[in-house]
Amino acid sequence: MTIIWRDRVLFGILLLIGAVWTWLSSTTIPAGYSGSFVAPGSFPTTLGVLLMVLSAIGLAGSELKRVRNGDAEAINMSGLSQEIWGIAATFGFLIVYAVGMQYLGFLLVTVIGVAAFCLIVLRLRSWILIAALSLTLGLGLYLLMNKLLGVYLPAGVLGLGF
Amino acid sequence: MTFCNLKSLVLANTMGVLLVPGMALAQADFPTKPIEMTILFGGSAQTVGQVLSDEMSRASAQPIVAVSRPGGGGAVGYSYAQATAADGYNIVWNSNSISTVYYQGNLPFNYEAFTPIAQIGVEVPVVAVQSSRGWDNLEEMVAAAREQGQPLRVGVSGLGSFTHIASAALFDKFDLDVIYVPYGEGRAPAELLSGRIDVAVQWQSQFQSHLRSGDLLLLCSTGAQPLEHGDVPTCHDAGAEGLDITMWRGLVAPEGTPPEVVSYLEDLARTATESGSFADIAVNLGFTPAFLPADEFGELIATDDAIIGQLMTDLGLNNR
Amino acid sequence: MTAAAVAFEPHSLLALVLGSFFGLAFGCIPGLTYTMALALILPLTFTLEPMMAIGVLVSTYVGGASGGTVAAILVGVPGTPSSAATVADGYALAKAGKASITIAMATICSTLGGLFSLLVMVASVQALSNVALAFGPAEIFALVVFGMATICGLAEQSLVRGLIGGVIGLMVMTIGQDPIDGVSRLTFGNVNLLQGVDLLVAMIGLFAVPQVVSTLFEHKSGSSTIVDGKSVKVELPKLGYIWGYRWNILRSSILGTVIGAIPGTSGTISAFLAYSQEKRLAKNPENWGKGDMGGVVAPETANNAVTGGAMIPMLGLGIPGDPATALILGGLLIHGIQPGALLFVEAPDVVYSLYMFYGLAYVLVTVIMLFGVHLFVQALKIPPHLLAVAIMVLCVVGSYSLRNSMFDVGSMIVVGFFGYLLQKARIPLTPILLGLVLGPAMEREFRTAMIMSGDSYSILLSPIALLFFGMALLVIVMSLVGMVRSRVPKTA
Repeated sequence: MTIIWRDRVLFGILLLIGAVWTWLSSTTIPAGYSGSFVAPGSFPTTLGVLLMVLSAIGLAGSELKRVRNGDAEAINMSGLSQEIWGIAATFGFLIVYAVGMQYLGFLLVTVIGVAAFCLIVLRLRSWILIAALSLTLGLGLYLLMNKLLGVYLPAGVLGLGF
Repeated sequence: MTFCNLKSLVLANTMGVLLVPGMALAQADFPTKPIEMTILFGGSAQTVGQVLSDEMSRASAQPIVAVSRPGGGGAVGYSYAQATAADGYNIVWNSNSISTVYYQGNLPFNYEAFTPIAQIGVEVPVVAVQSSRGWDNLEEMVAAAREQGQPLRVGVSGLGSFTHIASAALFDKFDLDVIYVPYGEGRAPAELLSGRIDVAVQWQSQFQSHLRSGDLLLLCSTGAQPLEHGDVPTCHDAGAEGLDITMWRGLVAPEGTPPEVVSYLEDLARTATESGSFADIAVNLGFTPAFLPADEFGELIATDDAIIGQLMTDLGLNNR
Repeated sequence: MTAAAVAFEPHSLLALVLGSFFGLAFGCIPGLTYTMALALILPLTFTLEPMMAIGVLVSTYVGGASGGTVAAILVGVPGTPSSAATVADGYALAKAGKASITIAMATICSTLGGLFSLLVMVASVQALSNVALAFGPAEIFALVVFGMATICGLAEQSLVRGLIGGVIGLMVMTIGQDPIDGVSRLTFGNVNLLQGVDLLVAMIGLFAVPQVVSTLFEHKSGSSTIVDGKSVKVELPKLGYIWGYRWNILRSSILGTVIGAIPGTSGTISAFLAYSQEKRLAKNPENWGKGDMGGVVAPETANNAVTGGAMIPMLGLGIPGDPATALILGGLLIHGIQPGALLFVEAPDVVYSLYMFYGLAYVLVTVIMLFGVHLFVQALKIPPHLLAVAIMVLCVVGSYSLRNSMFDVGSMIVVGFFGYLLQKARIPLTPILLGLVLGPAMEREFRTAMIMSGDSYSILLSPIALLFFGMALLVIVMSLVGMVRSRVPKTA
C-alpha cells in the first residue's frame, strides 16, 4: 500500500460516513419545540456536511500530491502480522473480559482473565508472576474500589456475592 | 478510609447483630445484600437522595447505596431500573419526571412499569424576578409584559422539564407571548441577575441567598398550598386561577416486586422521612418532607400522570 | 484568627488529610473523577460538624484536581479530562526518563496555580463574581469558538486532517439526547445511547487503547524497551528550574482563574487554552508535543487555577460553575451555610476557614505527591506488556464505574477501535479530543442564545463575544501564516 492509496481509502470512507451521517441526521431527528430555527438536527447535519467537504478537500489534496510527486511512497508494511496480533490481543481481551464480567462478576473474571491472558497470549511461564499480577489486579482493585472508595464493581449474575 | 462505606458497614453490622433475634428472622429473605437506589438527576435532587439513602441505611439490615444514573431527563435511570429483576434490590428515587419523560417520547413504558413504595416529599417551583424591575406581584408583571411589546423571556431547567411545564401552564392562563430559555442546573439565578431573562421558574432553594439579599423577588409559588417559609402567595391567589402544580419525589421499584419487600422498604422510608435529622437537612435544601404510604402514593402518581399528559397535550409538548 | 485556629485543629487536619488522599486516589485512577469523589464523600459530611465538612469537601476537590496528572504522565492515559492536555508532553518526558521531575513539576505548578486562584478569590471574590454574570450564552459560545480555533495551532502537519479530527469529535458528542429540546438524536431507539458517549469514556478509549495495542505489538516483535531498574531515579526540580517557567505559570494561572469563574466552562477547556497559548509564545514550538516541560506546566497550572476560579461564583453568588462545585454547594447547604453576598457579612468565619482549608489542602497535596513520586515511578520498572494488561483492566473498571454502566465499557472499546484506525491513518487525536470537550457547550450555548434572542444574530455581537471572535480569527490567521511560512523554504 502506498501513502496515496491510504489517503484515498481514508478520505473516501470519511466522505461516505459524512454522507450517511448527513442523511440520517436530516431524516431521523425529530423537530424540536424551542421555537428557534436552529433545530435539534441542525448541528449534526451541519457537521455531516462539513465532514463531507473536508474529506473532499483531503481527497483532492492527495490527488494533487500524486500529480506532483507520483505515487511512489510506500508505507512500511513490515511487522503487519505482529500488529494484527496486537490488535486481536487487545480487543479480544477487552471484549471477553467485559462480557465475562457481567456473568462472573469483577473479582472472578479479573483473576481468571488476567491469568489466562498472561498464560495463553503473553506466554509467560512464571507462575509467581502470573499469580501476583492477577491477584493484585483482581483482589487489589476489588478491595480498593468496593471496600475503600465505595465504588461498586459488577457482582455478576451468578450471585457469587462479589 | 472508607468513609461512606465503612460507616454503613459498621452500622449494618451492629444493626444486624441487634436485629437478628427478632426482626431479621421475620424478614429472613430480605435484604441479604446492599440495595441500590438509582438517582436520576444532579443538584439538590441528588443531595436529598443521598441523605435519604443514608437515613434509610441506618434503619436497614443492609446498606442502601445511592448510585447516580443521570441523563435523558431521567430516561436512562428509569430504563436501567425497569430492566432489573423485581426483587427490591433496585429502587429508584423518582419524581413526576416519569410522566414528563414518557409523554416527551423518550421512554417506551410509563409509570405502570413501577410499583410505588412511598412518597418522600414535595417541591414546588417558584416564579422569581429581579427586584429592581419594580414588579411587586404577578399581575404587575403580566401588565408590564403586555406593555413592553416583546415576548417575555422565561428561564426554565430544560424544554419539556417539569419547570417548563409549570411555567407554560402559568403563562397559558394569561395568554402571554413567552420565550422559554432552557438552562441547566443552577444557572437561572445568574441569568436573572444579569437581566438576560425576565423571569425564572425554578426550585426555591436556588434563589435562597438572593432573596435574602433582596436582589430577587418571588412573585408566587405554583402549588395549591402556600410555601411554609417566606411570605409568598400561591399563583392561584396571585391571579392565575386554578393553577396547582407540585412535584413529588418518592421511591419506586420495578413492577412485580413482592408486597412484603415493598412494605419493608416502605417502613424504612417512613422511618427515614420522619427522623428529625432528615427534616433538618431537607429544610436547608428547600425540600419539604411529606410521607405518603405506597397505596396513596400510587393513586397520586396515576392522577398526576393524567394531568401532566393533558397539560403537555394542551401545550403541544406531547409526543405520544 | 479564629479561622486559622479552626483550620489547624487536629480533627480539621485529619479531615483534610483524609479528603486529600480520597481525592488523589480518584484523580489517579483513569475513569474516576473528582466529581465522583465528591458525590461519594458527600454523605459522610452530613454527620460531621460544618467546619470539618467543609474541610473534607474542599480537600477532596483539591486532591482530585491534582491527582489526574500522575496517570497522564506515567502511562499516557489522563486520570481526569482536565489533564488530557498534559498527556502529549508529559508522557513523552516520562518515556525520556524524566518521569519524576515531570510529576513533581506538574504538582508544584498545580499548587502554584491553585494558590494563585486562592489569592484572587480572597482579594476580589465579590468583584469577580460580577464578571461571571457578564457571561451569557452568547459570550460563552464565543469563548468556545475561540477554543475550537486553537485546533489550527494543534493540528500537527495537515490543517485538513486536524479539522476532520475536530469535526469527528463534535459528531460523536451529538449522539444521544439533545441538550435543548430533549429529543433523541441518532440513537435508533436504543435507550443506552440516550445518555450519549461520555467524554471520559471516549477519552479512555482514544488514549489508552491505541497505546495498549502498540505496546503488545512491540512485545510481539521484540522491540519493546525494557527500562533499566537503575535508571529510574527520583529527581526533583530545583527552585531555579521552576523560576524559569515563571511567566508561563503566571499567564496560565490568570487564564485558568478567569475561565474557572465563568459558569459552564471547565478545567479541560482552560488546560487546552493554556497549552495552545503557551505553545504560541514558546521559543521552540516545534518541540511541543515531543516532550517540552512547558507543555506540562501550562495545562497543569491552568486546570488547577480553575478550582479557585470556580469557587468565585459559587461563594459570591451561590452559583456553581461546574458539577463539582455544585456538589460542594450541596454540602454547604446541608449544613445551613448559604453562599452568596450575605455570607461574607453574616458568617465571615465560614468564608475564612474555607480559604484556610483550601490553601492548606494544596500544601498537603503537594507534600503527599512529592513523597508519592518515589512510589509512582516504580511503575516504570514494570515491564510494558504487563503494564498494558493492568491498563486494560483499569480502562474497563474506569469506564464502568463512571455511570455504573456496561454500555459505557462497550462504547470505550468501540471508540478505542476507531481511535486506533484514525491514528494509523494519521488523523491527530488532540483535535478529536478538543471536539469532544467543546462540542456540547458550543451547541448548547449557541442554541440558547438563538432561542433567547428570537433568532436574531445580533446577540452574538456583544463586546465580550466580539473580543473572543476576534481572538479566534487572530489565532486562525496566525497559524495559517505560520504554516505557509514553514512550507515555503521546503518547496523552494
